[in-house]
Amino acid sequence: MLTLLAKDFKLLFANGKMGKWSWVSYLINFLLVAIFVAVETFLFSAILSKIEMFKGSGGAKASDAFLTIFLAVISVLSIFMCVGRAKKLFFEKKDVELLTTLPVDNSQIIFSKIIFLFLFQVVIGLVLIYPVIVAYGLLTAKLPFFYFTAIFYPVLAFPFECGVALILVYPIKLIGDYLQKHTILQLILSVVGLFALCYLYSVILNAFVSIIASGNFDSLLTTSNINAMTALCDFLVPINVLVEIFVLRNTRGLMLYIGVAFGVFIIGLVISIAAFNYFRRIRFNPTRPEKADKTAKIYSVKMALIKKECDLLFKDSGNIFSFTGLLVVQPFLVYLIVSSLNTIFSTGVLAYYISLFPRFLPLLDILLVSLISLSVSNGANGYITAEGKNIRLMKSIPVGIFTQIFIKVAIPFVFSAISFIISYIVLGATAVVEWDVMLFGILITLVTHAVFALASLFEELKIRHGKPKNSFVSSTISYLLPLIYTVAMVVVSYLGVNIYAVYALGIGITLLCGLPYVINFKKRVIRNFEELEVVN
Amino acid sequence: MEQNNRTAPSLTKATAPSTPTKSFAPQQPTANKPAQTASNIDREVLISIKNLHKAYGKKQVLKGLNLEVYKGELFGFLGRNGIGKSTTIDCVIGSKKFEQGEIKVNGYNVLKEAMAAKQSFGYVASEPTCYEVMTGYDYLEFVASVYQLSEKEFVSGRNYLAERLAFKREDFSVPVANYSHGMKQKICLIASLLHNPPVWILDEPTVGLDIMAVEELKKMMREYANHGKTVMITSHNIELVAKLCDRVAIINDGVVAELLDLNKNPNLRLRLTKIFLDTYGGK
Repeated sequence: MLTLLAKDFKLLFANGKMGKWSWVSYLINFLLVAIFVAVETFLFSAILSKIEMFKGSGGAKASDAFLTIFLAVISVLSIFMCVGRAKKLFFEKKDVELLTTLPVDNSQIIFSKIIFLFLFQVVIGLVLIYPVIVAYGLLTAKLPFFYFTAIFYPVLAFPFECGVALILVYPIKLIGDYLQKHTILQLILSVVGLFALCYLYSVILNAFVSIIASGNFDSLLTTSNINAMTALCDFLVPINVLVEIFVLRNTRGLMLYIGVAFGVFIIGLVISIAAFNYFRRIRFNPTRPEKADKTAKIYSVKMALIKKECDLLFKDSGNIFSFTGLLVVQPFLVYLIVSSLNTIFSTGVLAYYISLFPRFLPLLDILLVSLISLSVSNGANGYITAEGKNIRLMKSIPVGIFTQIFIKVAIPFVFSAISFIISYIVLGATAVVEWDVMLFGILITLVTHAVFALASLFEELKIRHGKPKNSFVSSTISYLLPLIYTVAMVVVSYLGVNIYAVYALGIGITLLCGLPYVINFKKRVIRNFEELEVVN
Repeated sequence: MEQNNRTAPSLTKATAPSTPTKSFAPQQPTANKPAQTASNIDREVLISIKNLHKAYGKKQVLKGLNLEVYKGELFGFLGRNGIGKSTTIDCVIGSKKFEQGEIKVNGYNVLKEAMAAKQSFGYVASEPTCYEVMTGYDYLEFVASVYQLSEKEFVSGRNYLAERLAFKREDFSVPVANYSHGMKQKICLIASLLHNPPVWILDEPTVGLDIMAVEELKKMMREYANHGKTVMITSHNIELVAKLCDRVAIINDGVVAELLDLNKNPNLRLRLTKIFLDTYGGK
């Protein structure tokens, strides 16, 4: 069993791609986690110190309520992480295949996985939760014994969190498998999820805007907000019970909590064991139902290539959160960000400084839209990388190389263009920007995207023999080029130059950056593509 | 010079897909039959490789390789790992550039008349090469569209080949990513023959296939060659090559070290392993 446990830990930390540089990856991950914990603790402490002075309804301290909500959010995150880990442990096909062939008892396999989950959850809990509890203790002047007992918080939280995760893991796996076969549904759900995240982001952004507008944090801390926060805690079971046990030293609910938590854990365990055995023995090779023959449709060569590129973009589930899903939410996201930023820059001291540069705000709006849309386009600029070994297929079919490459670059460009044009139309229709700004913005963002696409294409065509792509130029273009032309246009507009000349300057700078790519474009594309080789 | 002939006897003209052998039906028994071997028919060259040089950086892999493959023959290309077999094939299909030399497929220069040359062959890589986000249907439709087949040709060819290779029709509507290695290889085999090319190039075609599929593939390769087409295979399976092929080339040190006509001298079929080992100094 220890061997099984060690195997799962090795798989957790395995980073075969980097070889001898894997320690760099571990170091970076460690630093990222450390930064996250530092930011989390700082935010918690900053907000808690403001909340301390309030008393919520029913006599409950606002600070305890805030701690409960904070720990509840971390608990939800922890459950999702546990679900992901449990899915990999119990339903990873290769792992199950391997274990099936070994002379290992089923109960040992399951027991080792549960212990792994326990250790994983406790470590996650200690990393994410303990610093928050320590910060709470320091701010509320707790005794040293408090810090010792707080170590056991993740241990006590484990049965409930793990139990919920084990109950959810198989249904989530089934839903995931179902969605994998239904790409359109996957796209719809992902877009809905992204909209929900955008809405959450808008709530946070509005809070931030009101803080900026009022000049201090206290505008959020109204009595009604604090009372609502305190009332919410009654529903955050069982985190509120754990907070009572560890913070308020009220062990009245301890036995009840243990009973419920272990009950949930046992239910989750039973479901997972049954699902694991079912997956292992019966569902490993599911039979496919017979489907009627699809009617054959032969397209023109160009249409077939366009269809292929659309399939590569939209049927690859990896693209949903990096490109295709973001295309759909981009107009909404752009509207939120641009309108919020306009509000920020139109109030208080900033409004005075902005008045010195009359065209600053509209040009800033264009900059934001360009930056956001280029970030989204970054998710689909792996033109050659996306083909992988199929480069051989591209080279062996009787279709001109330039035609294939042109369509390959054009398809994501067109979809990106549609998305940011809609974004500008939304901004124009809601009077966030004026019509001339909208039209110029569309034009310059189109040109910037074209330059970005060309730069990305040549970077992709220069990938050689499995070496990583050097994306320095395209990355620089995606954030530096819009910044450069915006700064240039702001400065020139400050000098009183006619606005259309300012616009022409911006477009001129962008076209100049794109000039090196268009010289002998077709020949260079064909030559570079011919030099691309698949490693045998 | 033979054109890429869609009107030649083709698998898409099978009138009864339920009788799998109809389109590949040889005029004579399926074993290597003297009447249609390369030595006896008009020696039209379908694949011509002259003075081929190819290097990877400073490492020269092909050093003036010369080879001719004739119409109607099943040609085996042998060599140990890393010796340049797949590199040669890649140069023929246009996947890799070469520094020097001339390659012609069906009379078309692969550099100067690339499109015509690419219309003339069907190619199967050692590792299945297809778009895994597509379903089997979508991928074959894509290939058929690229080669501009008619719907009738496509449907009859697809159904016929699927039956020959025991590829279940319900599996066509599943994404290729969910196929086993063998199923992916089968879909690539089907795709390579849809347009009924005069030249069929296969790089390690039996890897990942079950025994029944291997046997069927061997039959198909033999019948395809007997039908007047050219089949060129690379393989590590010397027994398969010895049984099946009309001629065999063994590559060593960047050139063809041995060129054997197994029909002229059938004893070579039994000694092929020894000849192969001797080519590399018995190592």
